[in-house]
Amino acid sequence: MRSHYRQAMEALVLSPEARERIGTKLRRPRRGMRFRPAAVAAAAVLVLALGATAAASGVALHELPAVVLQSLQPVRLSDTDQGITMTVQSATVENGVFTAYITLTDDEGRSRLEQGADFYDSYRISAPFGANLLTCGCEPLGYDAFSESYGYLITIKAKDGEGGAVDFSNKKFTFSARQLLVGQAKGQIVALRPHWSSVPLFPADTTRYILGGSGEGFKTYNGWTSGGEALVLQPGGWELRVTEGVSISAAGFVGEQFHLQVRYDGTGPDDHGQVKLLTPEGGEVPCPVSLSFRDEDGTKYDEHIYDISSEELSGCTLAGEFTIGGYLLDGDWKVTFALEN
Amino acid sequence: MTAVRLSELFALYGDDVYRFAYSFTRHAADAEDVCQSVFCRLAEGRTELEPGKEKAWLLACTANACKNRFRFLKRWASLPLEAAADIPDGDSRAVLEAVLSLPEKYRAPVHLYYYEGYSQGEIADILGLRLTAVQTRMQRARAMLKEVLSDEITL
Repeated sequence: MRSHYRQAMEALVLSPEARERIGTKLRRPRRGMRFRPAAVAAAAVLVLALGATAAASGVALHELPAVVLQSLQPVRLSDTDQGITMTVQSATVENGVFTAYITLTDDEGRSRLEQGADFYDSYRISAPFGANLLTCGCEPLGYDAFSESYGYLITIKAKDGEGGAVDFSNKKFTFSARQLLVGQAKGQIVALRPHWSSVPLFPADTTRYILGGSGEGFKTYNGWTSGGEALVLQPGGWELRVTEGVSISAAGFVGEQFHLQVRYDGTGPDDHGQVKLLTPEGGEVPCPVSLSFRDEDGTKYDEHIYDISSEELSGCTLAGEFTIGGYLLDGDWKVTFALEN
Repeated sequence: MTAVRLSELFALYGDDVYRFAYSFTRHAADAEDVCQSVFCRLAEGRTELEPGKEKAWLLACTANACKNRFRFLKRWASLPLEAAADIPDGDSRAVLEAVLSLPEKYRAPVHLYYYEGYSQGEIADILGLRLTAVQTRMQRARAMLKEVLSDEITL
């Protein structure tokens, strides 16, 4: 049994593509984790669309930095799928930095994009950067009601193997996406004042595999156990509905730190949000550690940890913004173009 | 941890992590994703690996990643054994398919025992289980394997 199983398993190896991809990541390890795993990839993305009239005019529909606006070259190539048109309006390359202004429009006249559109983790950038790609980012420009389009500004920096700027001249670029996350709803709380006196001083805790986190104390959090797991509160220990689809699922003191656990009750592909603990004077209580995890049925939790005493907590309020719900729209959007040097 | 050390560990244990992840996921792309997440977690630098226990940590992290990160997808149960297509018909393929057809909670201890050669006590540490739980799972797994494998293959 052992020899047969080993022989079969030895035939299973990482593909060369995966080996290269992972190896590249390890040679340039990221030093900070962001709070939205799915959005991490999306943040490096692209895309969108735009109405024919606006495209023909070549006028920027969204507010762009002046220096970018001045250097953009018109592209105006688009691709449509699922009634959504992605258009590369314009692009430029200067000093090794590639910038593209992209818009999305809903050709079916519905407002699928009004609340925003996220490329989730389905985008691809095919360009002459190769393994020398340093950073790429996607800045949402918001929804423009007049043109009914949602805009993005994409920037990509790359260097050659010797640290010099990459020559992008006469190279082709391809932006593509396979999914859009649309239809998300926004929620907000302004000055929620829970009954802090009912917060347990000795809450039940557990360990969970941590998907991501943030805060200056994230790496040094004293609750790390083993295998990527960390100490968190047992969900369900202290319930408080915050807004539609978002609840406080546990709270309490572990040692001298106050833990506040937020649960996303919906089924959105990328429910997320930000919670702030505010002092009676309106100042934000620093949150040195935030952790993100899921339970076995996929429910997502964020746990925020504060250095605050029960006395100080008594006068605090909660504020926050949340993005929940929505659905993934499968499609195939792809635009290839070249820039003149 | 330096990038050089990370690359060394990946070269040494990348395939082992992938195989263990595959024993959970039974899906090449998902196993690659798990493998990537495990090494990226190591790259974040908040873990100092104990010399000589690097592989055990990586496998423990792999088990947790598989159990907690992807379980909600609830899709592994119905996936075909795609990577097994590269393995010729014969006893080895039959054994692999038999192991991969076991319920999820039995596959990990079986893999760690038969492929990695860990003792049941070491498996308990890696999977965060009690020794008795590992012993029970191994016993049940062997019983299930015996039902589907040829008598010529000794367990």
